Amino acid sequence: MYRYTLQRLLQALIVVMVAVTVVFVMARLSGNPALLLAPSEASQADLAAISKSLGLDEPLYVQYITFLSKIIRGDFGQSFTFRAPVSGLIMQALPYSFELGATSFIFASVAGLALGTTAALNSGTWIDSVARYVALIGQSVPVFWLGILLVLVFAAKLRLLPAFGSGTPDHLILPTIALGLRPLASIARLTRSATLEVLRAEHTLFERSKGVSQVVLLSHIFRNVSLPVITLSGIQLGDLLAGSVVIETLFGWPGLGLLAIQAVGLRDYAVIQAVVTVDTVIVVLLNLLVDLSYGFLDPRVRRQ
Amino acid sequence: MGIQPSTDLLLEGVPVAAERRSFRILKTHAPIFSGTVLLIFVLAGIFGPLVAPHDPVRIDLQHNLQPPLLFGGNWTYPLGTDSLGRDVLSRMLGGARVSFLVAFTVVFISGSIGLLVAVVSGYVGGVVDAVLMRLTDATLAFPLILLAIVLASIFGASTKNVIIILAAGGWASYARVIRSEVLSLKNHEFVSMSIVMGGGRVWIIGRHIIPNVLSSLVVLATLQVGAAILSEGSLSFLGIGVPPPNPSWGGMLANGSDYLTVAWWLAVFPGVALSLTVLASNLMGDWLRSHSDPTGMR
Repeated sequence: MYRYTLQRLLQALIVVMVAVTVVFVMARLSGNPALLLAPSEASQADLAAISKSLGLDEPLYVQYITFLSKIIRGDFGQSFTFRAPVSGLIMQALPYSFELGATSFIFASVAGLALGTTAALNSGTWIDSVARYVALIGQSVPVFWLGILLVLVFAAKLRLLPAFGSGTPDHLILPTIALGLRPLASIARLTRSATLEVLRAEHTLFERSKGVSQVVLLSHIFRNVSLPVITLSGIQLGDLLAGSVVIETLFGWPGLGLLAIQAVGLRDYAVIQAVVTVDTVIVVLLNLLVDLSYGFLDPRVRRQ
Repeated sequence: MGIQPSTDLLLEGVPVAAERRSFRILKTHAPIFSGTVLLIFVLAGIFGPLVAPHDPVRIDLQHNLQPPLLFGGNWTYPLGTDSLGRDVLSRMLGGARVSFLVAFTVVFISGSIGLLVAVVSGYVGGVVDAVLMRLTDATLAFPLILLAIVLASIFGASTKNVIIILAAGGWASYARVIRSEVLSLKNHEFVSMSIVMGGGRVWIIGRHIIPNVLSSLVVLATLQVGAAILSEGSLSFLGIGVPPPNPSWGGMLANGSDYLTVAWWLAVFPGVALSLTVLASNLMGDWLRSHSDPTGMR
């Protein structure tokens, strides 16, 4: 288990390093990184000042070390287009992204588990078919189109929910559904097949013949189903992140994704490199958490 | 952004056998439905712009926001026009070409890289295998949308960048899945026989290994067509994919989302096309997977 944990930690560190290095190298490949960071109306003196702060007159490896040490200290420099320190912008946007991510994940897992188990317990009936169609559609409809359709129906036509912005709990509903449907579909699919598998297992047959109640049976099913479902959530984190960029942009939700897309439009590389670094760290940490959780959920993994 | 063909394939050991039961109608007709949709898509991608009634980028402000045929419009603009008076049907045909081009280029590049990595990794083994597989894992774990954002912010949005990004991330799942097949294949007797008969590495790989992984390659490629179209759509929607004014389904949806209250058709038709194509590719991939190899896979 220690070896495994260490291995995973090392791998996580490598992914973060690769991302940070890509950000660094790309800026150097563009020609003059100072131009990327400077506002369009910058004077020669401004450019010189930025070049000096980046250490552009130093050799490349010194620049790289300066860059790394600043990032480690959480110093992402100054955004000229937003006229604020980048770290402040990130800290402002981060809670919004976490909020939307958390509500979508909870929505997807609760609804997905419920749909999947219901379908499996009623396998072969119309309930099963409905669940499977929901899963199929959820996996094929693009996240942003689903978001647009939700806005079209619930905001533009029925005028029930706000289509844009943040502030009230109502603002969370449409983006949560739009972002959650895809993971919901895969969780439901996987839960259904995993539950069917458990239902056919000998220990379930034994419990049933013993007369164990439905509730106890379900709790045993959930324990067995949790492992593949958690594996799936780990694999889908990248998907969820990409989806959140799209959904935040569509719904004007002021999280990291919207910040990044605004920064691309404004060509504000200081913000871009910060968002990319922070997002990579988050995804890698969550992935690590998923990998390490196997040990707690499945005693068989611990013994290896 | 589903750049990886299918997460299912990566979950080895996860029970999926029970998946195949219901859905009988869609399952038996899957190849007909998805084959038809994919054929239309390919034809639209190749010939679409040639038969399009209008120039997809010509602006005609006098005829902007015309409704589609059955909703008060006329035959001149069967699917209506957008806010700049551009013909929606012509733009959708143009979008099909872009998606087609991106999807097939990406599948070709990442399939080739993935196959190469898989065969080398699986057949050579040892340190090479370890390094290549760590690289594969790292690629699978890296969120490609971030690379897309970095590239777009430095070099601007372009179709070429979309292809680079999707291919850079797409090869890894081929490498993963096919490597494990190569590992089991190389221990088969027919490979040992070939070695005994004096077959060299290149001969064995070319004559025995690659033909046996072709079916998985085709399945993964079919699934990746849908994934690539979806990713291209997301990137174009965000404004970091196919740059305007070039027609693309994602870009049309981004534009349409600004006119939801007055022109629903702008946000509906490209979405239907996108969803149907992705659905068809997913169904076809699933169908091929369950029919391609009666003994193996599952």
